[in-house]
Amino acid sequence: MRRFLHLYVGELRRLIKYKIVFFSLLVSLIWVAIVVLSDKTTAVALVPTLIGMDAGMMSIILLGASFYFEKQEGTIHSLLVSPVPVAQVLLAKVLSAISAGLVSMLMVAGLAWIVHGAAVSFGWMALVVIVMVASHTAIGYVFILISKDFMSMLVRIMGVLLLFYVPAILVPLGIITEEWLWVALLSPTYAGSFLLESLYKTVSSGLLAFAALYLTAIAGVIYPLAVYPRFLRIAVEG
Amino acid sequence: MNNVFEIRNLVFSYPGKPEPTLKGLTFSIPKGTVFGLLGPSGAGKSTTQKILTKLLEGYSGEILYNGKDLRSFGKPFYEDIGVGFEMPVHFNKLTALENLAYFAGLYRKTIDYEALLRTLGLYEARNQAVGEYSKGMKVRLNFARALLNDPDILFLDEPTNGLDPRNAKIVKDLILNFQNQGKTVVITTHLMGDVEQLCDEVVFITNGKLSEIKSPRDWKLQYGKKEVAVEYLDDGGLRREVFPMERLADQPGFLQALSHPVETIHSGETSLEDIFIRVTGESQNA
Repeated sequence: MRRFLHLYVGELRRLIKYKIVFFSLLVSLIWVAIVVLSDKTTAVALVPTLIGMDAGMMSIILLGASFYFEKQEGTIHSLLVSPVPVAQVLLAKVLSAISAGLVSMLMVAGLAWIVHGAAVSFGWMALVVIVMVASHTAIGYVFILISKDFMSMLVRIMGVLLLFYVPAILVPLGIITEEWLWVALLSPTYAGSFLLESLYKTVSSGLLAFAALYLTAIAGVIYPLAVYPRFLRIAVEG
Repeated sequence: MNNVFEIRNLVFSYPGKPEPTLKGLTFSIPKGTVFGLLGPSGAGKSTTQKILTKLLEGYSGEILYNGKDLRSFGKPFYEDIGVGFEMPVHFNKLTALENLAYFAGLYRKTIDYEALLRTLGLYEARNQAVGEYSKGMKVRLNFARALLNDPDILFLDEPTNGLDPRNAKIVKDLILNFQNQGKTVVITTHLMGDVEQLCDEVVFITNGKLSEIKSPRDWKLQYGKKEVAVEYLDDGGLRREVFPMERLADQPGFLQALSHPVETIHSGETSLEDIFIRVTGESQNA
């Protein structure tokens, strides 16, 4: 446990030193400004989307940037020949991405509450952010690990995320109707946003359970079966 | 003498490659020695080292580490070993101290790495970001990283590559000091001067196969010519004569040559560079 905490704190320190946290906070500040300057109705509508973007898209980009720095510097090699299991190294990285997502969540949802009185259960919201970051970073890692460099990873991720954002456009336009909402929930990004929205409005509990289980399953399946073996291979090959 | 590693019939193939990279290696690494694993690029040295450091699995054959199957060791194995990579393995935006503190936190026991930085001439630059270090400084920091956990076995890949003679000597002295504590070093390098100064035993690996294991001296005796070449001045001109090494003092020609002003005397000892080329060349042609 001591080593895992050391890895986690080290990862956070590294993200700060490499200014990755700085850019993450900068993006969060932009979201905060949007929320503060909006009226209450708009702010409540925007908060789930903005937090969802941070927990989804931003967490992947931050993790990708961090990974390519590390690959370039060969430090994964150095970690491999230490007594720390690779699974813990991966977990520390995911946990640091979750931490960044939670900070952003507290800033955005907190300010919405303070300025507009948009009350929300921060505990449940934190759980949603954790599940969302875990599932999106699992998908993100697959693309990070198959891409040769940061730019090609970014292009791939953007393509996939655009696809994931399609339901977020089709549902409000009424193209995807209520009875087909479960199809929209197959997009992990929409499923995450749906969970976040459920904190501000009443939604179907069946769909809520589906979205939560679906995102948890994504993280639970992709990390051990796809991410871990490939991460290990790349770490060994250097 | 106890063997730290005993390797028997080690065969390893990379997925998708038709031919095995290692073709039945059998050798032992005695405890307390500096063991040189030499060979041309792509011969299988790194693969062997990666297997011995448990970075690669899926091999056939047997590897015993301190008498036990290497496969039976988990992550605590890395408490025992230190690995010095050829390429830098540090966070460039962190200082040398921050880097070492980060990696030190992953081990049960660590050395006084500030003292080591002093010995390696990096103490003044300890709070400088590693990205600003010269190549030589990064190589020395890599060495510090390998020693960080006070290991029993040190695996070093080109430990003095890119170092000036003064710093190379510091690193070599540290390696010998490490060995003097009864610890073992496995070294791969292309610098034959280092091999000669450091290694007790040397094995050449070519095309996944091993040569015999010998000390640098024995390799030189095997491949060197048993002769002495004398250059001396005679009638104002330079003359060169070669004499067989056997019963040198009984050879009148040799004694006659020594009666002249001698410019140079060389034995027919060959260099390790030549031996490297001949052994690895012979293996490739075999």
